Amino acid sequence: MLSLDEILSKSDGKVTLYKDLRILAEGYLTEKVTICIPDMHLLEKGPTDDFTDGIAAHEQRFLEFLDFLLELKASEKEALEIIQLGDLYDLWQARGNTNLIQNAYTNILGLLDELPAIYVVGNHDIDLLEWYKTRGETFGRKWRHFSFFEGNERVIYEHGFQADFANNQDSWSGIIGRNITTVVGMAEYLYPDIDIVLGDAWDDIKRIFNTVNAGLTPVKNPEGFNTHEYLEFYINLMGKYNRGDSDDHHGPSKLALAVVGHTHSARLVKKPQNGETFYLMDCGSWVNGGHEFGVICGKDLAICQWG
Amino acid sequence: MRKLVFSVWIVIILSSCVTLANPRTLGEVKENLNCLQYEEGMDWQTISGTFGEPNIAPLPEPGTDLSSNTRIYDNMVVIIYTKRQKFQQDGKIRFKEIVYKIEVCKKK
Repeated sequence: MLSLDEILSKSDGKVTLYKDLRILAEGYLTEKVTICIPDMHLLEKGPTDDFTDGIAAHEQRFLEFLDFLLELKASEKEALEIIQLGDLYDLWQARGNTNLIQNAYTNILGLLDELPAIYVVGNHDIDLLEWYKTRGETFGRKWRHFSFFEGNERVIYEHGFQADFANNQDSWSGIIGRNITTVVGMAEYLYPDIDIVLGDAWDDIKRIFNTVNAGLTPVKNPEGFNTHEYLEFYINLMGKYNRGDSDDHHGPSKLALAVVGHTHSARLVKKPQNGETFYLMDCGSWVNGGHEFGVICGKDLAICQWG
Repeated sequence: MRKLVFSVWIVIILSSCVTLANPRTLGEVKENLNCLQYEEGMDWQTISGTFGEPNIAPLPEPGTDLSSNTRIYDNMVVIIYTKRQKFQQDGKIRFKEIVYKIEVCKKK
């Protein structure tokens, strides 16, 4: 297995640590080098597309990152795993579905499939599991993914909306949060100049939206929480899995690390509890200029950035 | 100001609902259409038999022997099938969308 330092070296300086977020875990977590790509929110490159954010170079930067991952895959083969952590698409604001996003980002989506990436769904692309639910069509998407070490599950990968009161799509609060976001996004899509036409009035509307959203969603107000607002949620979840108490799992696990995206705020934290040490890796995002990703090499955990 | 903000919210919500229709599958879209897949060399009678007389029969282009013609149906639906295709560009893998099938359809 490649070490993190070898990956940094192979990238010719393109991969660097993000804010020195690096931890050496107490035990091995993966048997493969695992690279975790967080939220991308691909749209049709219109005014509400947060991936390019109006800057064409953002797409080129991500393409270079994928070219690097393809080179790594060619040399490492099955010893390298790449996981997209959800919100690859922003279907809340898309012009219908994934169709025209495929046209807008043919290269990126083609290269992700070429790797191939493992896809976990986020709250913005959970529709992929809903469209053909009765036929069992999931388009290769998963609710969550696991990494193993010596036969034991050690890492759980989820998007992270499951821990977010305002975005859990299984709850009423998440449905309300989605509809508010959709309506505001639609308004900006339908009327790109709405901020110019309405001036201060539009600012008032967005301020109200942001206030409501901040109240419901910890991510918008992270300074109000300790370390990471999702840490306790995932320690509890990993505890359930480890005891064999989860609904979708058979037999006890040895989970110690939860990897998420969703908040768009990269962090890496650990917390000892009941004689064990749990870790939470929040991989950041590739929206609004973000360019972070998570890397797990055995015991070595880090948030890195490209370019 | 509050009344104005409230009014704008109502307008936004109502207008946005227009675009929030449930997505439809191709099969659902085609339920109300008669479609023919274009193939090089297909018999004109197949087309006229399915779609009826054309709405416009333009003059033959100058320089032809009158046997080459165009026929126009207005209010037709065109369905274009696309898929991703891999190619090499400067030694790197890249992708483009290509058209692999075209259907022309008329509402039932």
